[in-house]
Amino acid sequence: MLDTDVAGTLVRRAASGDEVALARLITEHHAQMVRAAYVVVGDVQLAREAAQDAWAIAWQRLGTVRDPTRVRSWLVAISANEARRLARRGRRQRIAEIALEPPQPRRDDPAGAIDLIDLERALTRLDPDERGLLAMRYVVGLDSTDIAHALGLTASGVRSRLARFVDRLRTELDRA
Amino acid sequence: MPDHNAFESRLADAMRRYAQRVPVDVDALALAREIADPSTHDAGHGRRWWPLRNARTGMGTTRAIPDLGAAAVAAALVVAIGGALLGALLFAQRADAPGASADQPGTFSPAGSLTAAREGHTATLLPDGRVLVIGGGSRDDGHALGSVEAWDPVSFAFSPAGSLTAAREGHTATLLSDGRVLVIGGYDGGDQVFASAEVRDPASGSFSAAATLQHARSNHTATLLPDGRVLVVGGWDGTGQVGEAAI
Repeated sequence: MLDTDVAGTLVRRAASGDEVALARLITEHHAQMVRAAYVVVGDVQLAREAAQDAWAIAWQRLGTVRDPTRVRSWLVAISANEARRLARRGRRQRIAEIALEPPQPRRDDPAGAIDLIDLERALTRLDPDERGLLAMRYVVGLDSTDIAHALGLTASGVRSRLARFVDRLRTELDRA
Repeated sequence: MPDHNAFESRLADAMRRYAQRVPVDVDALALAREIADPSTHDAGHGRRWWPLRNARTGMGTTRAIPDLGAAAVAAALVVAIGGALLGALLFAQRADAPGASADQPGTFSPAGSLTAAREGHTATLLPDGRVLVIGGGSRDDGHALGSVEAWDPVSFAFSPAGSLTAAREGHTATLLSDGRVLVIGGYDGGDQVFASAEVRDPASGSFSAAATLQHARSNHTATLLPDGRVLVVGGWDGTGQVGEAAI
């Protein structure tokens, strides 16, 4: 993670049109934007598309970023929102999706790791907004304050939503 | 609470493993250059536009324009990346552009802006050369649009051209031999998929209800047959793909 001064410099320079600074930001944040989008949309191609679209939007708005230390949560929120938009339309246009990666064998390890097939099925029971919030917290690792700032919510509101979504996931996973 | 925390920890681990299944490789500098390329900006509108290579299924549509000014032969209606934020732009592709050839038919340039940014709309070339843009999804609130607008090839401008009886996106719009436009199916931007159809009267420009499909569907095809009937094939009914065709 970039320190505050570097992050601020990069955001300012990128906002003024510096391609190299923008490339640094992409290097720093793109992976988490794609991963968050993937949790929302559940499709590799759409996730990558969402992140790329998010950069186009972010590029225009970089000048509005007041707190560069929160640029990651801001970018991930844009990417998750783009993924949500693509998910809403992609579900009606998808003909068939074939997993190229063979399914992982179910694990029954003592630590009780959650099976990814069960998780994927449980996530489909949540709507894209809910999956986006979970991705920001558990995939990107943002805290409730950063998420709240990015989404225009209160931190306590984020925490209560997360608790509710986690409970729902748990219920779904218990059924698996 | 300890039990909840333990589950939360397992969930976080699983979600990270799940998300790591997606490849995240990117050529950062190439992407940055593409995004920052000033040639993709429409200075006249202070908006950003992209070469047509960034158009994508469901976000734009193309219609050939047989006589556009001197010699332009093709136009593409494209919702630029960014949708409502960036506006929607029409790009006209001129076949007589310098260096144009069959393989490289020229470049795209801005040719007006829709009054409402939209995706999942249709664009129908009318006999008088105008392009009728119908419905589509709003990027602002996710709802379908009922508005219709027409693009004028002389002024390169869009203007309101009536309203659908039901806001819809993912529909089809088929120009009939008598100049009417048949709008079929689609969905409301949420979960409601339409079986309804409506038709536009070329004289009044108004839409009225037409026959109803036996099977609601969106993202289907509708093809005008030589005998004047319209063949509707496939699509999505809200729960799965539609395997039947209808006339």
